[in-house]
Amino acid sequence: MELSWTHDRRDGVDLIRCRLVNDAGVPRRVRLENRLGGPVLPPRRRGVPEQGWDADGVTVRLPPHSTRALGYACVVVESDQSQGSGQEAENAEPPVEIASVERAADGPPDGAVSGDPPHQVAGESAVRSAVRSLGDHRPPRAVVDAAGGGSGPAAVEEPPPEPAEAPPRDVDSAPDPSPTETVPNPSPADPVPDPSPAEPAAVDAWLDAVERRVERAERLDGADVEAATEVLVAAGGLDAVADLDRRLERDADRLRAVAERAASLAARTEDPTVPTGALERLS
Amino acid sequence: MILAVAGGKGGVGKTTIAYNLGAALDAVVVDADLGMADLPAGNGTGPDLHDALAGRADPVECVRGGPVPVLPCGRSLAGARASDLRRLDDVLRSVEATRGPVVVDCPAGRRADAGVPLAVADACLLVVSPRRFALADALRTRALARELDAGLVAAAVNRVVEPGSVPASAIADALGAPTDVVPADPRLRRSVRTESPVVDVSPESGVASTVRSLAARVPRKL
Repeated sequence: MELSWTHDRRDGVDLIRCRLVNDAGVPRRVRLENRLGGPVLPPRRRGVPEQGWDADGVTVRLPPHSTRALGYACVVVESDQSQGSGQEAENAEPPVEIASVERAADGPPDGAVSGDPPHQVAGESAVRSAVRSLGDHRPPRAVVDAAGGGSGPAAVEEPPPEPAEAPPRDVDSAPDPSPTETVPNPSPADPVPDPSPAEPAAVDAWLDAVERRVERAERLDGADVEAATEVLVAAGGLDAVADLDRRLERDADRLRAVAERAASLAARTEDPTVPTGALERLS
Repeated sequence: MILAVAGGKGGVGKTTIAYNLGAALDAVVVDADLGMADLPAGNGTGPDLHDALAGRADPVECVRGGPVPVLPCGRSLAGARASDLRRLDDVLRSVEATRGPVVVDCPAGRRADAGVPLAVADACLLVVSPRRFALADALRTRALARELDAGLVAAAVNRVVEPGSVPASAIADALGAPTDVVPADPRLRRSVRTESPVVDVSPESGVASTVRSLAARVPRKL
């Protein structure tokens, strides 16, 4: 088992990057331990440390003839700052070491992939393993922002009305705002536009309309005569639901397209940091 | 005792069963479907589960009174996004400590919002649809519950128009839990919206008797 590493220090935080090579023809389990004077800050998924990590290091399983890269941060609390804050941390001693290597059982590799049933690490609570390995339930930030939501109970949207109580709405024949027309698409030359008040409300209204159609279909699915009649009366007759299937198919395609776009936009918006301070100094 | 009421697919009537079980078990029902609030929220004001999960409100203060006490979910996308599921354990335990048994109405699917209540709960109950293909979905939820150590105590086949046509014992074998067949009944269907649990308003009915039978399968203590 070979270990190579790099050690950087940035803003008082040590960043250690490791590369492990298992050149044996069998799977092996490696224990890496941090040698710096501070607890390991492991990579996290939605707040929960990735599987195999603890305050002293990490245990990973490598399949035969494989390489694995991993990294962690550490805040070194040294009583003597004899190194000096400006110096590179090029000690004679490595920051990380292999503590043990052993033959691992054959089987799936460590590290759950999202979608796999969560398998718990010893000592990890079921809640943390569920949060870590199951899919994120939250609506994408782009949709929340487009709906004009701030955090807090003051930002409220009306719940979709029950079909039996609301006056029959012409939900199925009303034209939907197409998402490509609604979501603003700034050209690179324009300054970033604020979304106009009409647009978030339009996205909201579109999602509400889809939700009402899905609820209608769910209530009709396998319904007895009385339940089905109730739904049809609220919808305004048989014609109103005649092409519900087709509309829902179209809704599903559009929702998937918007969700993909929203998710990638959300990831992009989280990434860049606008260097306002620097810009102010230069202006 | 914290009971999670789960079901893989949406639209099987999980919320209705959870609400009515709440009445039969004298429990607080928590609406943990963070993205789509289903349970009555009273007049809509006051703190809700979104607030409790964001750390803004004490969970016990969020419980609304009624024929069945309910801890409602919030109704905003922003609130759903700000909800920290890691707090759900403490939220449910503090409601249990002050108010007694808790029934958690879980969302459909297998994402973290469905998994965490199963991980927290002491036991779970599956609601399934009588349609044959829906059983595969129920089995997936059953697998998730098993992974998360939520003991399955019972299953309910819901909204059944012809009780005789449902292979209840085959379903019980597949899921590994005693299974009751819940007849389709308009009183059950409107029980949540009108806040009238069937065990209270029609205690002699077949559907009320089935709800009581399901409730009897839930252990009161562990």
